[in-house]
Amino acid sequence: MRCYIYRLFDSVSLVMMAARRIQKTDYSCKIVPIPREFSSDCGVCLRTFGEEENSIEDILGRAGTFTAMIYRKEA
Amino acid sequence: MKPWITGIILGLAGGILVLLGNPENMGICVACFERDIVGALGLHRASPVQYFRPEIAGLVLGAFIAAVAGKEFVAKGVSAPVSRLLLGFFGMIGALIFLGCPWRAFLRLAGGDLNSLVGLAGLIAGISIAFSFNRRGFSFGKAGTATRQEGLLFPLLILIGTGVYLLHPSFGEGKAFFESVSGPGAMSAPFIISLGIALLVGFFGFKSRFCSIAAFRNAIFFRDRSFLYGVIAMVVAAFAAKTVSAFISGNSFITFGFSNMPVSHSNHLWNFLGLLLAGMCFSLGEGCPGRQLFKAGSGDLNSVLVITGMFIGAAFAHNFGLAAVPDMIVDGASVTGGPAPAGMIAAGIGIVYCLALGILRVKAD
Repeated sequence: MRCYIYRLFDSVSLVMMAARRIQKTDYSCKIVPIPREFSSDCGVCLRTFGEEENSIEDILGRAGTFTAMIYRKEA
Repeated sequence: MKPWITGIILGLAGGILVLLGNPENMGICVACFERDIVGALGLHRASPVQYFRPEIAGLVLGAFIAAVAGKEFVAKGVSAPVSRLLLGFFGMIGALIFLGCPWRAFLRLAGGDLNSLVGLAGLIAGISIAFSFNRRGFSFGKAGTATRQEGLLFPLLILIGTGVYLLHPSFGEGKAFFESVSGPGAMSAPFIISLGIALLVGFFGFKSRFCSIAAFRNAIFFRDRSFLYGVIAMVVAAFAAKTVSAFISGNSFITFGFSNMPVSHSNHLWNFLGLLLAGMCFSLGEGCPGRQLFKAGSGDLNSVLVITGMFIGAAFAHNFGLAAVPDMIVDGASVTGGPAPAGMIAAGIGIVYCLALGILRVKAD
């Protein structure tokens, strides 16, 4: 079963910054509203594919973009 | 919990509270009601707008109950406290120049007041300007830590304040709380019913994360309309409630127009700029005025700062003549309202403040 990884950040700006970092590579991501089950916040988060989790982590780690919370959910 | 459910509850609440006594097209308005509370505490001296509105307490405590029941009460520490306080301050100035928060803009629209369309255009423009800073890396930095006790203080303060009001204390010659004898502050639904309805709105508002700023931002920039459906549901429900109440009370049906609408002015430039300022402030401050109350009820101390700024802004708005005046009929002639020069200057300073904050807090990618 394919799953999505939801990455929550401390601000909308960080979400957008992380998205830009990922979009510069061959990987894909989408900015989506934070699913209700993960947070009571009305903001947005980054959704990536589960099988790309480690690569995305490396990209964001190298960029120094700190992910506040990571959640996994079935697609 | 879907935002459209809260939208329906909020729209119906707005209609029912007007039917029970709240001012026309002002069934529930966070900016106006906070301003009334500030007046009730004697922090401003505009006698027509002084009343300890229970709706504000209900919204905070409803969200608090929802957060505790759902084990979502988390004390969140602050970042950039003075910047946030000033966002609340100027956001309130902007709202009082338009004469209402975004929620009231929706209720005014449902009530036929077309000035709200001009205001909503300003709100969307303000959200768009603020989002352009988000796109470039705007951030308040990492929030500090906070204890659970710290997060509990604001809901507790609200609870105590409401309890004290219900005791109707007197000190010296007068009552501790000021109350209007005429004007919008003298028009109110029964206290307990208002509190109960607001508790319900607060509960569902927190559960669904209803936010008028996120509604437009997500729909325009992220192609997600879930929050926008909440806003649409609110307008439709308020329109339905107003139509039904017109039948019940035997009043005339809704009339659409710009001039002489209830507690509203038809100065288009300042309707636009008022909500533009509010849109910038509440976007940068991460939530519309109602959402700030929900977040404060769930332990978010950043929201407590924005709300505190709004209270201070309300006091300044009326003590310094910054708030707009509604359209009036003088000697049979319609006189267009709007802000006095002091209010225009304050709004200008507020817009410059938001732009400066946005530019200075952008961090390079």
